[in-house]
Amino acid sequence: MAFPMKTKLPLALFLSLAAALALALPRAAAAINVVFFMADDLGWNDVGYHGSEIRTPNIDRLASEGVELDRYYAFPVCSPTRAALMTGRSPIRLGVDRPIETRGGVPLDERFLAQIFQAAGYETMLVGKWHLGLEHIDYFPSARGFDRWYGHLGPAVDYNTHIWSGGLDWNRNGKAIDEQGYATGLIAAEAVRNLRGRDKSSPTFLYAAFNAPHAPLQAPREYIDRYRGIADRNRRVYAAMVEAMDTAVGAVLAALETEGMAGDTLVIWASDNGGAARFGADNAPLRGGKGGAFEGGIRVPALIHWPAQLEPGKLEQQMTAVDWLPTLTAALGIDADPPKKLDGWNMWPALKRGAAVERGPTLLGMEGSLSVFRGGWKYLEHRGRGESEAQPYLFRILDDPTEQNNLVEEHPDAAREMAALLRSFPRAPTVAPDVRIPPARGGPGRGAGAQGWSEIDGPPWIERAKRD
Amino acid sequence: MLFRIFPALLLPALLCANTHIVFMMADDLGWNDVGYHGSEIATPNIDAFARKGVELDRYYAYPVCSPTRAALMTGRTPIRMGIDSPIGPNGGLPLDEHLLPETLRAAGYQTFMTGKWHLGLERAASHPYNRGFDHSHGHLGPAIDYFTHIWNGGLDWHRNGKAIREEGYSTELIVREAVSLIENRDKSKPMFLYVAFNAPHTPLQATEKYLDRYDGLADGNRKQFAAMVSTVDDGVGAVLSALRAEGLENDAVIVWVSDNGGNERAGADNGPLRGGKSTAFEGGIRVPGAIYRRGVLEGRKFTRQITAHDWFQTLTAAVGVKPKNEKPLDGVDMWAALTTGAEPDRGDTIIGVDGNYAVFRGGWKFVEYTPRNGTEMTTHLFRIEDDPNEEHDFIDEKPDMAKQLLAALRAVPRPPSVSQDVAPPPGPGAAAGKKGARKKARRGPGGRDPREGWPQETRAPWVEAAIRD
Repeated sequence: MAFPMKTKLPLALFLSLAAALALALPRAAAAINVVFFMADDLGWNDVGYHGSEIRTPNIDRLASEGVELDRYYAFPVCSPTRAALMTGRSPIRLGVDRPIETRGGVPLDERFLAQIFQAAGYETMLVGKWHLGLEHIDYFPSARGFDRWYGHLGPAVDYNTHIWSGGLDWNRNGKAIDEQGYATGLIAAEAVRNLRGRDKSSPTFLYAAFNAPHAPLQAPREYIDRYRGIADRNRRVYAAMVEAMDTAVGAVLAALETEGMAGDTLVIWASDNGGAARFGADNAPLRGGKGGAFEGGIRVPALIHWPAQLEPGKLEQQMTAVDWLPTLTAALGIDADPPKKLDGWNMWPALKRGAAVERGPTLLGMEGSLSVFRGGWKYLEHRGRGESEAQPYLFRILDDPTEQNNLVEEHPDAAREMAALLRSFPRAPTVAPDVRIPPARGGPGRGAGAQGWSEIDGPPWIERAKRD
Repeated sequence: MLFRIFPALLLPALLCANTHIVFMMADDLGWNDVGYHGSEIATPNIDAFARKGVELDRYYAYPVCSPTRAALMTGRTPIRMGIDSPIGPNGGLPLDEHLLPETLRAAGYQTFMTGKWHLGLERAASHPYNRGFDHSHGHLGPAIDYFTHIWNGGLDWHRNGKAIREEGYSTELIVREAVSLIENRDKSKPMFLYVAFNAPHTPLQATEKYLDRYDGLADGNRKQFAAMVSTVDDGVGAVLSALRAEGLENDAVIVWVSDNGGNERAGADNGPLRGGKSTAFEGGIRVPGAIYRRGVLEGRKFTRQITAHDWFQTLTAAVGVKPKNEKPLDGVDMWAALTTGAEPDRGDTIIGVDGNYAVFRGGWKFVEYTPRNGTEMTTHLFRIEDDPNEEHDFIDEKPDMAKQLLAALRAVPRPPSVSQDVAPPPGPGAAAGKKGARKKARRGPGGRDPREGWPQETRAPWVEAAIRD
């Protein structure tokens, strides 16, 4: 009598434990796919739903059916924003305080969002731009949670030759590939292929990081032809690049529909930083742009779309790139299990129920241009081009969103307090020492920003990476 | 607080994975027969559609009706099926071919067609209601009298295999049926609607209402033709409005194309392209076309080649349905290329009918041309992307290239024709045109006056005369 009981008891215990576990797992975690679209250097006035002359019907539709993130903030340049998205931690804390070029990467003891999705049973895919380290293979997407990846590792790429600064930078799963085609279209095509060929027994995390509309200014003729009315050449080509990116978003959305995934997919679309006006972007009416922490550099278009869970509307509370990791894991019921303190806030209660999330002070910026938000105040220390020292600015940002009135002299106490607050945030030395690439290789930094790279002076970048 | 959410309704349509397909095709409409190519024919609805969607600048069909339709329906080249000429009273699309509506029906689609079939009328097994269409309406043969719906002495107008007598001009009847199918569809299923206008194919018959729009044109073939095209244009507009009214426009892939180049002896104009219907010069095969899909196919011009045999794979890819065809498809899935600009994996493109073939490779085009009523075939070679009007012939300068392309053409298996050239005995009324016998009128193909219809019924309706076994 006792003997069989003993054998059955652990089984019963196991079954009840399993049942309890199954119940404890939020239902959302089981099957909700996540598609995160990132645009590169797209400014405030570069989407149709902000009144731009650029047509972005797919992004506009996502915005109107989803939640428009009206006060979404990124970091002023690519790598810090991407590091924030992937870690949920302040890139300033991590030393990712500028674009990563040929050296450095996100510290290897950071746990990435893709790894969290992987651990939760997701199939994880990156298509497009990485920009979180190419010096060593340990910085590559495959080492940081992506089952499949495709695209380029560096800061920018020629849309047609797929060369960056003297080396091919176009890869699939760790191998350089020589492909024909316009990068935006290739990225979308790979995304669609991946969705069609996905592991149907797992939910999908697709990170589609378009390199567009980052310089060099290159677009297919058929898109440029649609903007003949724009006199400025840079703006005309830029507009074409944005619309091509919007079409690519549409192609991925169409694949979600035809794959029967649309109803179970949370879609995010966001820019990575403000636009670069000299390359055709427009941040109007915001002040400043890419590379600085004035609003034009960090307040960027973004939205979240999940009709099954979120009613269409607009989130007017601040949300930042650091918030994605805690917000998404909370929304999907995934245990983020952060080994280190997260700097972001879970904004899901605000998105889902309209609850006001208690946020602490928020640090945004980069080396040379750092800002802190608290209450209705924004304090900024910004070193402009050619200036040797940073200048202080203080704005009542909610009343003065275009930063017309610097209140530093009017409110010296507040300025002093905010300056101290700014200095209280942890900062690590930069991980990306500024090793400039040799100047003779053309590219967006030179000329009118239109030229890409056509010359190769060495092996593909991926083959130059250190391996041990 | 800083926060608010505007309540609004969820959009249930978004959760639906089903995308409709609407495919509209004109018959014998040439390059310069649409307003957006600069034609004197006004086609405001088609122009607006091409502007709104993606204009297919290098869309290629086959030189005549049946091969294009076979390519559309099978995704395979009609050359390898023996469909190398228009199907007459004999023969039909081989019955072991798998058709687009069959794949779509298996995927849960309701499948509708209205208009011209032209893939076999000899056997009932070839008719559309036996080839995957839940509902079919229109005519089975190559052409029809617009008013009497007679072809060659027999009524050729049916609905689901029953001969019917409807009052009216065929283009308008086709549109009426299409609109009714859209409005009365089963709303729980996606829809494939194939609208195959018989216009502006001969006979050149138009209604006064549309002829009046072209008072400025001299009486003659072009005026008749223009009025017929305008009727089609209004029809396209009516179908699009019905889709809009039913809220389907945003959930549909919509295509509008011609089936081959225009017949210049019957009012069409392929200018500035060379040649016309029945030839493999550009005027015979490069025809107007456009496609629309909300968000992804909008407001552009697509300048890569796309062909009639690409539709099967392209449309099934567009809606996420797996082709059930067990035979090898010859077409290319152009969906990624259309939507993302990805480079399509195209080999040679071979298009044509017996005696009139074209082979495209790289920027080259090789052409075989057999003149009408002539037996002497000539060959030509063009740099087609630089010389779209085929003015500079490289056939003597580049004999090696010509030889290579000819070899590629010869490598395509060509079974005997499925459609033996047996003309049906002319009915007694065949010589009498709408405006009486016009013995001195310009003669169209087959020696008939292109304006001549078939006023008299001298045999049983074709659908009833079909072999049933």
